[in-house]
Amino acid sequence: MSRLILHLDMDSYFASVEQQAQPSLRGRPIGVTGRPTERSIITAFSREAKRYGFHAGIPVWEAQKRCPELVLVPGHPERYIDTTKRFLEILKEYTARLEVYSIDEVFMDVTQEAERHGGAVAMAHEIQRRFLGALGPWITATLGIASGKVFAKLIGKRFKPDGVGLLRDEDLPELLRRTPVGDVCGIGPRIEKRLAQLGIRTLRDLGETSESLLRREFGVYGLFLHSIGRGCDPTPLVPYTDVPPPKSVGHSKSLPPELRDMPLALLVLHDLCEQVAGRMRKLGYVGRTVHCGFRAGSIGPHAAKQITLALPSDDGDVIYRACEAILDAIPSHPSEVSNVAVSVGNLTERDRLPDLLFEEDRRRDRLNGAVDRIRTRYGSQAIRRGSSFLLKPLPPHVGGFLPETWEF
Amino acid sequence: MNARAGTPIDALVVYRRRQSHPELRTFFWQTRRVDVSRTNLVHTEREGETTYLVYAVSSGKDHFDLRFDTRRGRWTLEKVDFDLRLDMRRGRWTLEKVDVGD
Repeated sequence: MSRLILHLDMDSYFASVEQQAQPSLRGRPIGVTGRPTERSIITAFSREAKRYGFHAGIPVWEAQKRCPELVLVPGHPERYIDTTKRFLEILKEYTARLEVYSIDEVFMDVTQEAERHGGAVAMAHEIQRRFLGALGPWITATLGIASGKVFAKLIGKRFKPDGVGLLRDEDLPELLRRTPVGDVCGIGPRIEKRLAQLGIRTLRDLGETSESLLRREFGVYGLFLHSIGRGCDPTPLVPYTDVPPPKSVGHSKSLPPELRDMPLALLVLHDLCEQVAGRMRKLGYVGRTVHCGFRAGSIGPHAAKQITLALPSDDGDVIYRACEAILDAIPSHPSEVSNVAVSVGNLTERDRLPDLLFEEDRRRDRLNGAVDRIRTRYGSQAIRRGSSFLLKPLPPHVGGFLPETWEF
Repeated sequence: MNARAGTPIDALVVYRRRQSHPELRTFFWQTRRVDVSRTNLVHTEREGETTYLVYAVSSGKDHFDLRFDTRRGRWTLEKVDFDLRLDMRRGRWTLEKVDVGD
């Protein structure tokens, strides 16, 4: 029996949540941003704004030039995460084989369940009705149904917003003929360019290209490309219950103009190191490889290096000292940076390590434990490094998704 | 008009059997009684071990954000959105739109 995969994609998600919460925003072009200033970027647009051809990542000044009536709305990440948890609770009632692809996209394998609901299309409409009752009329979803994830996502795109698309077998050849390779999730601009150099522009072209050529050009990935070109998506659905352990834990921050001087940027970096360390302790990991980078100026190149610690650690100060050593090793230091990032990889479960040998390390460990307990009880801002009080509070990160921020 | 984020208020709610959060019916702000005509969105926020329910509600054309501290059982007004317009002919202000809060 071939699979029945449902792809659910929330429509203009962040913006629609804001419009649901604030009736004065409904029907208007809105842009959701971290800080509504000229130099910020816009994370999400409403349907009305998308008619101007906007896409996420456009700077505020450019968007306002093209659409003077655009309303800037500060984002509320907790609102989006909570709404996602609510719709996931509804979807879990349909199948346990549910892959949370992002904060606003889900894949569901309903091969066995669809019939109970009158078929996959009827099930999709039922989900939309339940969302209407549970989330409100302005938060809608589009669903695509096909035998594989890639094609479910592709067919759903054509029925946006608030639609249901079903890819029948007899429609597949037409879809392959009309779909540019760049439209496929998993084929980025660089691969698209390389394919174009081989004369491959559509999925049908891909399917008609020999498997051996694609393997030679792209390795194992070439098998995936060939398969997609023939209308077959072998990608497995990874249920939320089977998510693999993290390979690294990291944070990055885009800096507002007043924090771009190097000394201030380092204060932000120190804060990020504390956050990364706190998350690692919560997940029960220590790490050995510290990766640190920054972007020079407003649109300059990104510079990054990594370092391996002598001993694995989950301490924010240790991670920060490693970052300092990394920055010292980068030959040129700009006077101004617009983005700082840190991540720790080469993770090991903390329980697998022997007890700490030295009293100084055990003292630090007890201190970290106490800080974590205070933050768990009273919130993340309840206790902070003294130096972080020199910084104005940065807006919450809008966009992206941290799976460990929720349990369900 | 005085309204700061975090202004304590009195609220009348209904607890329904199959609802995960109380339904806000009415609240009292300064001398005003505000009857909620529609609840637009309710979401949960956490600060440490304390859970807050954040309500975005409407009363006619006016919109409000309120917060319920589930630990202490207290309601606060966080944001008010009225419309305010000046009628030049009559020299009178009519409440149409004002943003207070944030």
